Amino acid sequence: MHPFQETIHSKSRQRKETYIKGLFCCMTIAIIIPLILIIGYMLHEASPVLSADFLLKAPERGMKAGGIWPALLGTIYLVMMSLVVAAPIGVMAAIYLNEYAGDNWLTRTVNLAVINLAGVPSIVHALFGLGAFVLFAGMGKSILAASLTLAVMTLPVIITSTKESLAAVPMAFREACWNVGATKWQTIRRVVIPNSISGMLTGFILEVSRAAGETAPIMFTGAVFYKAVEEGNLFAYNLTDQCMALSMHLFTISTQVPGVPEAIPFATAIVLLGTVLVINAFSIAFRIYLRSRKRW
Amino acid sequence: MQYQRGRWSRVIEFLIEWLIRISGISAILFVFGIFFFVFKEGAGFLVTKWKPIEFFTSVEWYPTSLSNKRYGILAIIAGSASVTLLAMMIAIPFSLGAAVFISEFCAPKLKEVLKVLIEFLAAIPSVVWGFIGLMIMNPLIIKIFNAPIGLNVLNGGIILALMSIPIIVSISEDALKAVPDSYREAAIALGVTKWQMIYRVLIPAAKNGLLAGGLLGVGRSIGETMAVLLATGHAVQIPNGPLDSVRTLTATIAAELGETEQGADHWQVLFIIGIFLFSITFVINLIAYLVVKGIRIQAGDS
Amino acid sequence: MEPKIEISSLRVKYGSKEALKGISFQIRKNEILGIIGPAQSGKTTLLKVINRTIEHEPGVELNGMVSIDGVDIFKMRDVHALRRRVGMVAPLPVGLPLSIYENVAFAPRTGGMNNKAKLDIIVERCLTQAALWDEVKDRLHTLGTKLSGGQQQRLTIARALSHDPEILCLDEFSIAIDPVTTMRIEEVLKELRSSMTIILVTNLVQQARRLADRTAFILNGELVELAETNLVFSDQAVDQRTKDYVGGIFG
Repeated sequence: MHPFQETIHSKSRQRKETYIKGLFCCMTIAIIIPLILIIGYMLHEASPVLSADFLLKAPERGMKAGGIWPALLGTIYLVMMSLVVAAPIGVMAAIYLNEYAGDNWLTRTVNLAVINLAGVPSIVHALFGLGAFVLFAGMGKSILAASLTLAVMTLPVIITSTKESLAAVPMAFREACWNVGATKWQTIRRVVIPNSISGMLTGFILEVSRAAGETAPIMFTGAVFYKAVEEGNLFAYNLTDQCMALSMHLFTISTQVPGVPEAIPFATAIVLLGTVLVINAFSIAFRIYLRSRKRW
Repeated sequence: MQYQRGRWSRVIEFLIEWLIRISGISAILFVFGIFFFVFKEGAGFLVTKWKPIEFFTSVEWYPTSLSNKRYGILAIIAGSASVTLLAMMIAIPFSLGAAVFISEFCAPKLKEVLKVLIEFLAAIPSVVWGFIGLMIMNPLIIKIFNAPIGLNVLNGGIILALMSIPIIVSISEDALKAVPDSYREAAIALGVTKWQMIYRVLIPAAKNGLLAGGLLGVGRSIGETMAVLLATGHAVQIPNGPLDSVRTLTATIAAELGETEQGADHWQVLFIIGIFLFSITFVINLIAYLVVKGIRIQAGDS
Repeated sequence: MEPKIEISSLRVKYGSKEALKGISFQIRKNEILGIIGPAQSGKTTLLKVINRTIEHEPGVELNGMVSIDGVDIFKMRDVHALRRRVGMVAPLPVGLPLSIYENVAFAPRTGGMNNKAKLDIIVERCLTQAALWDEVKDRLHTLGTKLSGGQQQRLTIARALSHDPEILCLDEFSIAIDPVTTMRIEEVLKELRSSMTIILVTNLVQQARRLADRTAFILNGELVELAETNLVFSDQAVDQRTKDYVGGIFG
């Protein structure tokens, strides 16, 4: 028998191999297919009500009709405020971790804290926001308190993605800058940051997507069941007001209001889901665009 | 050549670097802050009226009773545990399979697509998941299992599994990717099939990362609030089977906090549950971190 | 005559590994000092000590003294001013991800000078001195990272010259570039000698022979021999190890 000739054993091993590959492939697909089916079903149920009016009009007749404008606007306020707070702190924290921190216990603790912060249950964030911002800081239930709660919650997202983009800048660039007498901060400001902006922006987009979808942290810190707001007015809310929010609204009309025609919650869910997925798609497309535009 | 950098610009640089340092440790401050403020609200009850044994071992949760208030959370703990357990039983095998597929078998183009899809899966807000559990899985479960109610452990478990899969897949895939190619090549050179290589070499080599992924999935599930609030029902009871309704720790806080008066006993107890939850997820995250660090030390030595 | 640089019993340790084991010597003003020796003998460490970028390495222990014009460099308060007196060229060419113009203007700008007219003059002068001006003068605003390896190394030299250093350190500058560019840079170094002191660490012993006035042979963190170049490369080298290394018996 030829030494390299295929034996029965090797044939059956190869067949087993193909089965295994097929099994793993199926497992992967099994995760994705139900999702597509679910979204399709939701779209179908939502279609009677989805329209531009749905987005721009306020709820009517006790939420059993009308649109979701106050909730949409509220979410925009909350998300923008949380980004404004979380972005500078997160970026600076990432700069500290990647550029200044030495290899010592403090750095390890900070890294551990970031991971822990990312793993805190959302309801605990709500309790924190309630205790710290609403009560202790005296902000009361307000957009301000809710945004700050969201900012603390999404801080790890910004820290992690900014840190990655900073770390992607080769060390050789920093050394070349130090060699000509530039200080650490000058190097960071003139070379490192401009070449990490893209990664930072990706982090911001991710933050926005997460903040828009959260319910628990805003439930007790500023989001509210119903609030009458002027339709189409982008400045309808004050920072000290409570507000409606898309995520909260979905929860409310699914569980707290009897007799709502099913199309409305489905449509709200689709708007929320669609918003979040579009934002994420943006971030992914942005990342792909950046990869093609490498500057070194 | 020495020019004078303005005094002003050096002062600004000094201030900015201190701002950076403070921001750097902010994560630590926030973690402490969370613990502090949650503890503060529950401290009164904790110090004066709390009976730990009854708290953790009694299934009688009657915080709103007029005559006999009881605060036993055992049934609620069972609720969290059962849903998480079921979720992990579903999520871990599927996640591992998907991670192995993506890492070892997949063509690069398909890999990109799958990773994007999994990112989308991760982005779905928890309230939307809860909504899916309420409006879609609920009638489905009633129909398929002839169950009296579709809001139960099974519903919550499936939803939580779908929510945890992205993070477990992502970390597991990283762990598999981190195994040096030399391991794979050495195994193949010995004549084993790909499956044998994966089963006998790759997975054991990546076991720390895979374990960390699983732990983080558990942490995510235990901490999840809105999805379980909507999908598991409202019964405070130890479940007899997956078709029973339960309440989780997170859902209890979310459902009842709005009904309490600030500073009341009930209010404080809910905060205490919050501390308990925070401690659990803290420990899980700490273990996952140490497990991952274990890999780095190992890799450093080799 | 006072030496430009004086090194006394310099000892450098990374953790448990001793990179330099107590070396002492002097570098004269306006000379080209060649430093030869096999890999990992401490040559790069020596350069990093001179411009104090050794301080960016974690876990480093330093003993001994290094002085420039009689002043202990470790007692100088402004380390950035020190680094501007020392030009450094690393082995791998580095074009910063800025325009070519900004690459050369980087050092003056961070040093506090922002006058466009003066910067224009500096950029042209340094790129000319580095034998790069003719090739890039029409595209000063393109990215420095898009140049070839040889061009990026000359850009690095232009950057090193842009802050008017008194001392120029080159660490195996020709490792990653083609022989033609190497020749051109060697011509540049010969011209620069009259205005600065040059320390040339090289893995190519023939390069030291071509360029250096004196040559030092460093092996395993120790200074084995330092003498006029023609002596080091001849039978009159004092140490047998020097003869062996130069003769190619090890390396």
